[in-house]
Amino acid sequence: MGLPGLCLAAAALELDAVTLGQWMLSRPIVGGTLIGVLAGDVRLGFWMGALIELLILEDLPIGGAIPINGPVAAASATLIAAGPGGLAPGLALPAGYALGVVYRAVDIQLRTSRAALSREAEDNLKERGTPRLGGLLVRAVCVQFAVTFVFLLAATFATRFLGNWAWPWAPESARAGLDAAFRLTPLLGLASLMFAVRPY
Amino acid sequence: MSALATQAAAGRRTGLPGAVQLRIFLRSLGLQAGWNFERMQNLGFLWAVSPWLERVWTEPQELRRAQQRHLEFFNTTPQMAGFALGAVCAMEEDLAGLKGAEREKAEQRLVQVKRLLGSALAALGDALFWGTMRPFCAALALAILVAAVEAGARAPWAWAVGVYLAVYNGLSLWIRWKGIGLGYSWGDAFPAELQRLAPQRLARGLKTVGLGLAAFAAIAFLSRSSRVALGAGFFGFFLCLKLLRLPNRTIYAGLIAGALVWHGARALLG
Repeated sequence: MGLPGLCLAAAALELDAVTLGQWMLSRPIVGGTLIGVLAGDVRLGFWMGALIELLILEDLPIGGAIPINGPVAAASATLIAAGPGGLAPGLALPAGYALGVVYRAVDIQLRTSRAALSREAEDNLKERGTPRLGGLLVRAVCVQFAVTFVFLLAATFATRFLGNWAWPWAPESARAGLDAAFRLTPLLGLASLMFAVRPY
Repeated sequence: MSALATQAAAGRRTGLPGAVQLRIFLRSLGLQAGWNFERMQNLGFLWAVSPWLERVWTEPQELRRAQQRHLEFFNTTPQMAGFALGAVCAMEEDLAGLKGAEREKAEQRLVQVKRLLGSALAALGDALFWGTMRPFCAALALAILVAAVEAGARAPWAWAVGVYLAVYNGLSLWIRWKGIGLGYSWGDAFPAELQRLAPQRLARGLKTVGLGLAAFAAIAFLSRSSRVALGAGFFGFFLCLKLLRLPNRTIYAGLIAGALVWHGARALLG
């Protein structure tokens, strides 16, 4: 499956995070694995997904707090590293994580814009006698899907392009440093997990 | 006046038919479809409760009034929303049996109880689902992965992901479904009943087991490393940073920066 197809799948999975279902298909450990299966490298997808899952465990969507977007981070990290022309995992993981942070800002804008839907529902109720919620909610879902798809496609393509252009120029120490950080990240993730499950 | 309203006027509730409960349950999966900062889950809540409102309020004006009521602010953990939906169904049915000043008073109480329920259910649900189930399922998935790899399973990742989804969704969907029926049976007495729901013991139990599973996964990971002592040292260091309440993004950024500086310095000085 090509990058556009993979981004479509990832955008569909991202809907499960908040918008529809919350069946945990969007969780990085699940979504990353599924994207990895579609991209032909399930081990990479699972590994990227598991690491992002552990890194963002403590980011909780409580009240109005918007956490880093885990599905986008995991999908980005997998798509950036997978297949021919994929970047080194040591670069793909922090790049994916950073894209999850950037998408959080996009998500905040999307949610802010949806306040208009409440007013539209009220206007529909006054003028037409029904809030016409089905149409409003379908529109919200479609917009979320489209924005996520465009973001993933543009961001992963740009990151792969820039990474492939810049990586050959990077000093050996930078590559070794990123590789070392990648190999230590599971230990950070496991420490974070143990902290998260402490009973008291 | 609907048949439900007639029954409610006589002090009886008709009960939530299974087909209606199913519609509410399925619609509740889209509770956050229109999530916004201003009124949060209001659109999704009205969408989910609409099948019942249309049964209770057969007069168009009264239905519109009820729909307007539920376009106000609401927010809770999505998995716990079933309780609020069920309770609101019961309260709307009771409301339909009242008239005049009594109805107005009950309407205000419904709005207040709904808001109170949202916050109270969120306090329970956030701690149970975000704070406990998510890390517990992650620990379980990693432990299953280790076990599957050791057992020579063909697709160990499938076992890990499958168990994660089955355990989380087993509890989540069960609570979503059961919550609607329980919320309906408790009605506006819900806040008092809520105090009997004490998932703290379940959460503590899950976290204790989760801690064991996480430790198992950590030991298994370290034992496969070629430099066990160094790995254990870093693991202990990260755990100390977590105990100092440093956020992961800070530690992760520090890890990358530290690794780059270390290798840069080695290259310069080497």
